[in-house]
Amino acid sequence: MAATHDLKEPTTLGAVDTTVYTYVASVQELEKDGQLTRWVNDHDILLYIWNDEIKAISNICRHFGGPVGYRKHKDGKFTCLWHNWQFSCDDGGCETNPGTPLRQYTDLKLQNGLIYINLLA
Amino acid sequence: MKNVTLTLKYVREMDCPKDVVIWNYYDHEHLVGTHYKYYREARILAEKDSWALLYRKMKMPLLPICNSTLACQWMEDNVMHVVHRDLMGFLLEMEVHFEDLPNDRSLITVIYNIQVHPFLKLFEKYFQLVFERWYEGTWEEDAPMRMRRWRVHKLGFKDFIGLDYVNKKLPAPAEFPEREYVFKPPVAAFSPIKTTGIGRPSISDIELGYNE
Repeated sequence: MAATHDLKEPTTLGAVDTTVYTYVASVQELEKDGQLTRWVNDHDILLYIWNDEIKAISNICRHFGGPVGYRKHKDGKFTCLWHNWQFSCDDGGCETNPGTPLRQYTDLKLQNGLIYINLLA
Repeated sequence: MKNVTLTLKYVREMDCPKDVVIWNYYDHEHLVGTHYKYYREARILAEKDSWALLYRKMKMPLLPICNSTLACQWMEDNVMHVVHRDLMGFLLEMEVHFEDLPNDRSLITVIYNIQVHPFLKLFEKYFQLVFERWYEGTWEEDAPMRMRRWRVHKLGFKDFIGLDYVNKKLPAPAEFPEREYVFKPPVAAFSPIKTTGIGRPSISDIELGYNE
């Protein structure tokens, strides 16, 4: 597991505009298992560390709504608990049914060890 | 000598409407997903409307070997019937009664009738323990699945599509219109459960759990 200071920062450090960004979790919480899930404003976010980078995708499987991040990712894939649909850690692409990728949240901010997310990007 | 019937009954409430629970009972693909610790294989041999003929291989608590069953499942009004015949020759008749309660809750009554040789009446306590653990274990795994299914339904989830506002990068609506959960079997299957059947994935995965 990469130490906090080794993580590639999702965006430049700076004051977080809380009208755009919403707090998700601390880096310390994320580093515990290397991934975590959290409901934020009716978005279920799967936050994880992949190739020393903090990434975020939707935790809601587009099949029947199952929890994609229930299990720790393995061999570069998340496997949804309910029906074993698999998704790539690289970009949330669905390997079981390629037409149904998970939405990626690409605009994250890291400040003072806290991770913020822009739910609209 | 005539068989005797051992009867077990369990009653529980769920914080979701009964149709979500019925969906869960008809979602045969989840057996080797959600219940991967118990189920090894599942296959739908035939299915029409609420009728399904199923093959399932599972490991029940306290039994040293895997068992397999052929099961016929159907609905009559608000009661689901399942008749199982297992590898050892036991006949199990199961009834699940579904009742909606106020405030989107439901009452679920599960009745197991196991027909056994009179000699096995001596082991009634053992059967009771096996089924109690089976019922408790699978219920504990199904309950969060039903609650989550109900939660995403209320947010506007559509099967094989997801949530529109998430996919389209829009803000979540300030208010979600009420949508009744209406389920009519069968569940649309994506896997080969209707042809070759499906097995469980590797069980060495680390579970981090739900966040509800």
